[in-house]
Amino acid sequence: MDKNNTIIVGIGHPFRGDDGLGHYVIEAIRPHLPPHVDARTLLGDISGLLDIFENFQNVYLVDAIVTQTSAPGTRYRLEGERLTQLSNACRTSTHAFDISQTLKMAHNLDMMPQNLVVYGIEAQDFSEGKGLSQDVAEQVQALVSDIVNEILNTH
Amino acid sequence: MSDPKKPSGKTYPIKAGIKNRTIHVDYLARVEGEGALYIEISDNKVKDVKLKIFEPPRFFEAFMRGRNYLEAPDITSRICGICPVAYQMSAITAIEQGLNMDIPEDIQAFRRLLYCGEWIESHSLHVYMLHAPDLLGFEDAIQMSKDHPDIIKNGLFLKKSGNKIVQVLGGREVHPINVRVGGFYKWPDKASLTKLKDDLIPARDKAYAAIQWLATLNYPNYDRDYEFVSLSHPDEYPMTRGRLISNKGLDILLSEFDQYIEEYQVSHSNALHSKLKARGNYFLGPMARYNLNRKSLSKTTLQAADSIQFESFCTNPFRSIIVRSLEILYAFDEAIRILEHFSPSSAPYVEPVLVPSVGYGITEAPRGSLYHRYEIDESGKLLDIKIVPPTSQNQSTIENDIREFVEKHYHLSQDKLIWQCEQAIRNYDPCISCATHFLKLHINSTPDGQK
Repeated sequence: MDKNNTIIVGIGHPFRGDDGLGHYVIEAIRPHLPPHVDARTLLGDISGLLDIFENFQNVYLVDAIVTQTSAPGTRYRLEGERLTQLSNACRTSTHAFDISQTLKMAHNLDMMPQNLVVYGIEAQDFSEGKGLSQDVAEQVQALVSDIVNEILNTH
Repeated sequence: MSDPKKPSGKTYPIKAGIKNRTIHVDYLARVEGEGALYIEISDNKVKDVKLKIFEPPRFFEAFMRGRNYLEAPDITSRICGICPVAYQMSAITAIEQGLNMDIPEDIQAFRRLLYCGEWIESHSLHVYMLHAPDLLGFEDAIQMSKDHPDIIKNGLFLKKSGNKIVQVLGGREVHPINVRVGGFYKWPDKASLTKLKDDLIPARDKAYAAIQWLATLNYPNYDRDYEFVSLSHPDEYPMTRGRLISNKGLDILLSEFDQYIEEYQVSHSNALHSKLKARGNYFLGPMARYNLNRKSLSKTTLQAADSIQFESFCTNPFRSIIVRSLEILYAFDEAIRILEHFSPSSAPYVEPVLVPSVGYGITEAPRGSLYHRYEIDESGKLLDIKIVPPTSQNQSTIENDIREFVEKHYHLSQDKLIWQCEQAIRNYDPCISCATHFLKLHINSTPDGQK
């Protein structure tokens, strides 16, 4: 199958505090993306990620990250081996698989895209409600710049 | 059956066959929602079984009061992310029944088509991701995908096909936006429906092949005398309409539900239990539908069942995975049939004439009969709502299954007994979030019978 080129996917729900990071980054990044780059959001059920992996060569995921060792607002870029260390901080859906399970399944099914990069920010607050915590919100523009620069220089 | 991997949660070493023990499963794995299991055994008799639903109550019946009747399908669909269509269908058919609305056959067909999509995606998720790992001895679908990638890929493909139906007809895969009292907000364009039909045909072939594969697996022996309850209709395998019947004499109008079935509270569950006033607990879901309506399945589905010599009346819930797979095949067959003949002649919805009324609706969610009752006033304001999901109705039947299973299998090791009890629950594909509209496994074994 001919795969499409590049996509950036924001993961998370905008009604759950910092879990909405992916959603807000996609809103902010859309005007800066070249026409050949697709941008989408995914809510709780991210089994749709496997469809995206099947159809795109270069996949950028954006999600809130929790390490509990870094300060809120710390920005991350993960790829390769580091992706296998991801685990889910909170249940995003009671019916479906979370991001780390989906990545493991994609690996087992030989469905990983050619290039996969995860961008994120250390989150602080997943309580119900719209809006990001201050430390996370202050880093969104910098994260958007990081991603746009990489996409423009690479693809 | 191959030996299971270690089930989820902590386990404590204990001699097999000990006559006094208590089993706690603090958190049930591979079921939707949050539940736990408690079993107390004393002198080789099961003294107590509690399926503990601690998912918090959600109070839909309360906060919907005062809302407009047109919001009922959109609000109730939020009860569930895997069976939103079921809530929408039960809601709209209940309100339509109260308003005495006559719904044209092309709208009825379109509803069945949408429901086919939901059955396919919900059943596929359960068959391949939640139930199959039990039968193949894997802890979960992730582990299973390493050794059986093609089976998982098939399951994902089938689920995606179901999602496509819901997307095209409902406007969105989760919580569709095209459903309203009286019908639909708009008909999809013909090109989308033609493409959909073409996409479903190869998927139907995969669904047929899956049944052949399932017939090769080993299943625990288990049989019980159940009262199966489902909708039944003279002209179709039941989804959106009919009477409510059982194999033990129940045959009622949907409006008579509250006269024959009552809900009651138990201290260990946030979901109300249900019982037939005359006879106690009962069994809803695909096995009930199949047992009571087998002759209404499509020719292809009956051929598939016969090709594996599947029983015409199934009383072993561990074999429910085969029934679900037959329903997946039927749903593909039915969807393709409707799409081949679909040519809407009416407007997409019938405008209701609002009067004060009480309406009753039951439709067949993937997990069984889902009952809604609505009282509305002359302006269409919702005054009183009752919702009884299939999983909450199945709770006491599940507890009885476990009681009987444990009494016949004391010889099993603790690990294996717990794993099979969890599987006994998963047989019902419980949707615990639905049940609480209003499986951590913890074992506490005490040889002397003390808690």
